Amino acid sequence: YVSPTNYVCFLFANLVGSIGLNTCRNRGIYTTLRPFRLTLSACLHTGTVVSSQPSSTVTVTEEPDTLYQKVSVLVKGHDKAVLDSYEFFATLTAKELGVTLGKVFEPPKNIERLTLLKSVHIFNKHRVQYEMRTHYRCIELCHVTGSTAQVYLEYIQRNLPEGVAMEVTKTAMERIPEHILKPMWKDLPTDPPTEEKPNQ
Amino acid sequence: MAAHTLNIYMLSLGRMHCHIYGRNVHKALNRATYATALSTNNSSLNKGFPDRGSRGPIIRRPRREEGEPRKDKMPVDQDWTAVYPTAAPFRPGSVPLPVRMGFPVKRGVPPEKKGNLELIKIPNFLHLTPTAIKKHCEAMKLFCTEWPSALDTNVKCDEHFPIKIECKDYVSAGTSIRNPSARIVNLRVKLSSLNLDDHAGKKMAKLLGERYYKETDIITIITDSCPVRQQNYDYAMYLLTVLYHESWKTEAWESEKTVADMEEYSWEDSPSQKNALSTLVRMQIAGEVEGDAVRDKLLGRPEVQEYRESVIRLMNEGESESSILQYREAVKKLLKL
Repeated sequence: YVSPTNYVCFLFANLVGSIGLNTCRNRGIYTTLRPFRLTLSACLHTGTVVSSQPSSTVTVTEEPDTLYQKVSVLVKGHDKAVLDSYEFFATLTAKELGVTLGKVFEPPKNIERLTLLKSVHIFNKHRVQYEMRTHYRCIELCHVTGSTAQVYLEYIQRNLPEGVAMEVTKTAMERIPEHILKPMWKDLPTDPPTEEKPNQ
Repeated sequence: MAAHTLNIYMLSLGRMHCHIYGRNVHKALNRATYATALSTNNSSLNKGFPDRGSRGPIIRRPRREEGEPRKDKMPVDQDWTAVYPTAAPFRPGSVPLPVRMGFPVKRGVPPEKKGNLELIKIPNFLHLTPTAIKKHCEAMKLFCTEWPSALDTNVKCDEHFPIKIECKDYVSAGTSIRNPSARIVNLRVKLSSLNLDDHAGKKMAKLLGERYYKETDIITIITDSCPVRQQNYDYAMYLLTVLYHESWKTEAWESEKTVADMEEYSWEDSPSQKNALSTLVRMQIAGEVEGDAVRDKLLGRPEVQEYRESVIRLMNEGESESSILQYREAVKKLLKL
């Protein structure tokens, strides 16, 4: 995976030169799970060849990539203009990285109002009212792989403006694990199913 | 100056408390007052400046002249990413735009950008122009992987990957980066995608109770009892495994399942069947011998089967126009009306 300290390396990677790495490997449903936990090895050391590919700053591990059916990014802030700019930034990033965008919409704002006493002591008839407005923006991405989601989310989160909060909902898809494919009682022919057995 | 103030304090202290400390202190204080009378004359020469002792006077270098603001020297085809490479506060001398922001005075315009706090307060996206974003994305594309092209529709995804795990991450500013709600794991599976037979499916639905929604056939397991997300995920998978294997088992007490426990209505051995058969038997009572053979023959008849279907449909699906019409037709055919 891409660790946070290596974000600075992105700029260096640009300067170091084009790195030819074949990242697209779609050979089928089952085999695509094989590769792709990409890690960034220290590219700050110029001249040392870290992995087997020549002058590459990306390493590929054999761990299977998680598949996210939906990644929903909800941003909350007090200023609508800031959220508008952030939405433009996030959608452009998604387009550039090749991530399919789902819906991009604006949930209704939430206003919390308080009525407090104006004075420190007595004067109950004179009050002051405050309100806190929270605006929302939701950006949904469909069909994202784990590596791409990590890259996109890290970039988005590092450029989150001051005073804006984010909530990310990731829906990962998985196969049924092997131990749930068949009932284990069928493998034991001597024990009839009506007998009570201790749980394995 | 500091010595002078210290001695004033000592004097007041002396006047208040000399009765406690005794005559010796009073004498010391008297000596102190004479001493200060001499020292204040010397210190008054450095008027306005604090006495820094051995550190020496504060060196104030003359303010250097400010040069031409950067915006005047900017070529039109410059690289903006060099002006604002990272997030930085708004610098009026570096941004060549005539921006105005703030509340206007009476019959005036919003204040200009020079020395404007409003422009500095608001977060700016000057470091994230489309050019800059494209440059960043070019560098980041190496670490992205493509979605497998065979899984383009949701239907195919559900077929091969039926289990859906939903987790939430939170990012906000505060004293702590942790959010306790981030440990909650939501597991969703369709019951039909698991390898279960009829009895196992019904038992699983009964075991799950509220967590199984019959309309959409989805099992939802939400775990938040452990402090770490990985633990909650393991617990959810463990629950699914246990439920699956337990529902395949048939316990001894399951044979005591009554009609009230049944999920679906079954016509066999129901009052409706008994009533229908007894009515038909009475209709044909002239000349025929009663017995099990007659009942089986009656059951085999198509009108009886139609009646059975319509009653099952009414009980399971509820009353609707089409189901009641079907029941009406079946009854008419059965009673030969």
